[in-house]
Amino acid sequence: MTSVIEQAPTRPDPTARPADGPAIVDFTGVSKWYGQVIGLNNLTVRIPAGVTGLLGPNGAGKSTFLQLATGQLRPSMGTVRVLGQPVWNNPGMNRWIGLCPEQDAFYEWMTGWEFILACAHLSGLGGGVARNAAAQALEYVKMTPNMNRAIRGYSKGMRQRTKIAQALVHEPKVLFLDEPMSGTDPLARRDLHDLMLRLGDEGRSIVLSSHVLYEVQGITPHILLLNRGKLVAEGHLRQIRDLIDEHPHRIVIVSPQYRRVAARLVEQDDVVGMELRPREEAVVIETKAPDTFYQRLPTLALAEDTPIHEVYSDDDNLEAVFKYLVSP
Amino acid sequence: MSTAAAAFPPPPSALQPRALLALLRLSLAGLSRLRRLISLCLLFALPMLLAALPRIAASLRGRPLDPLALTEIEFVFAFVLLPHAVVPLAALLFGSGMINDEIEDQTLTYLLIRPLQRWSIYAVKLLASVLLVIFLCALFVPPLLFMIWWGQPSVDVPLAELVARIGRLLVICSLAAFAYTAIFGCLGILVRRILIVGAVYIIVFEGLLASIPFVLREFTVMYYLRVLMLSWLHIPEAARHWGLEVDVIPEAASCVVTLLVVGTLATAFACYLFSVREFRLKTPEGT
Repeated sequence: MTSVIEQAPTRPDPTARPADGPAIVDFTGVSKWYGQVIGLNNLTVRIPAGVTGLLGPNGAGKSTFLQLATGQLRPSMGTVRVLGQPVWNNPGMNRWIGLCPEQDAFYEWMTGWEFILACAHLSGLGGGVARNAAAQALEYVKMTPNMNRAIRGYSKGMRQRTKIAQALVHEPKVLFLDEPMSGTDPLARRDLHDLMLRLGDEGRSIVLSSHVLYEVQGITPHILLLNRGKLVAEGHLRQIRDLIDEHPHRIVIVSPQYRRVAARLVEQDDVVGMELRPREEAVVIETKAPDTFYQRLPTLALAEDTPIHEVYSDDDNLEAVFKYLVSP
Repeated sequence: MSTAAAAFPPPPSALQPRALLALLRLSLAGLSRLRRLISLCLLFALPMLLAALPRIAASLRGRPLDPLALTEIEFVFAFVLLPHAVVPLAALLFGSGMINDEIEDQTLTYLLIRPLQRWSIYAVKLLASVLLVIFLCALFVPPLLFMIWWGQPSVDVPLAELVARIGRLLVICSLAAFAYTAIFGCLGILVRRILIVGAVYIIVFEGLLASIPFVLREFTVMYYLRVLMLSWLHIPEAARHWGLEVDVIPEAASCVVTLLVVGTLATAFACYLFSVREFRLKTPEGT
């Protein structure tokens, strides 16, 4: 297995985003403090129409970003605009905004149908319009067969889909999804992944937050990277990847003969660093030419004295990516 | 990239009656969950159950209660226990829970991200709380007074008079429900441990202070409720028990206005606080 960045199914860019179009989300010099703790630090960013991934490790400020963008929090400094309008204390804007919050919270005593219908009514939709909207939203997330069950009995995947349905029920122009795949099993994850692809393909403007690069890059190549409340990188996945590629990739090779594997590899020019992990029977190598390295691996694996059980990237989490991006 | 607001339609009005009605329905349903409703029904049934004991004892002895004893029973359970303890406690439970429950359960987000003015969220939730307290009063006050007075061999209370008495007590309880729920709702936004603070407020401020014949008692809700009970329910012993001088107490109408104004001011202040306050719900990420 190679680095996730190398191997994950990156979508071809289906959304040629108008670079000179109006910003859907516009943060100008935005800071948010919680007492002594900084949530966001002088953040200026303009997000155009289309699907954008908001990436960052835990505590990066993603949820703060989304809570500011949906008018739940007031910026300590700077201005936050969505669709050209300020969002704090501007509840009318919520007619155009949909949020799938991160917290796994519901009115547990309601059925899925009652919850979505209530959300439609709360959004100002009335009577038959609200019922139709609720039915469509539930159908869209494939929750119609379970809509008459109490939410407290839903699986994690069903709960996530119900949260997305409440965000969609009033047909918002901008959708904010906060860690929508968090805590779901692989099957539910795939369903949610497909659902988000569908939303993007329909031309909706979505800001999707996640701390897993793999989840986001399969949905959109446009990403923002936050770390410690600051914008670390912004742009097309290619650009981010280029930044990452300036640093050596760390690849873990698990083998009962890991010392012998290490001895073979240390001779290679592209290997710039190495670390032994006796407890895992593994060797971690650092290379600036991952493609060349991976091409050579099959030969090594086929050799009788260097059996290889597993190969994986040590860079498959965002913390590693951020280490690259923020280190000098 | 431009940020021209003109590229997007202006946001619609955030005061839509059907959305507020939906919020009222949701709030009523949320506040009247079965467990809470059962506890409150038991609380409201308590004066009735306690008032039934002397009647049961009298019937076991085979001697009916005399009118004086019935008047005392009514005073203790209908005019003291109910408005002094049961209604304030119910108001405290509803008033403290209407917002705090949403914060605890992290469901407030679903309201804050709807096109609803923040102050209207608070106002509608308060309305739901007050309606529920009044509903419980309406459910338990009639049987309480009927249980005390109806079918007693020693006194003959005309039905019309009894119904009128029930109606007047219900109005007083409703005013108490509004004033107390508004106060506790407001305190719930200002302080963290609202249940403790509220209980202390009921005991110290409304209980003790209202009983001391000093100008400060005019700042308690209870003072005005007592004056109303004295004026509307014709309970002469109340003046003695509560230390009220009939010649100097305010008019009933001004008591009603005072209670409405207190409730309205508390509501307006809480609406303001709610509209400017940030509610930072804890997330798994914890940012």
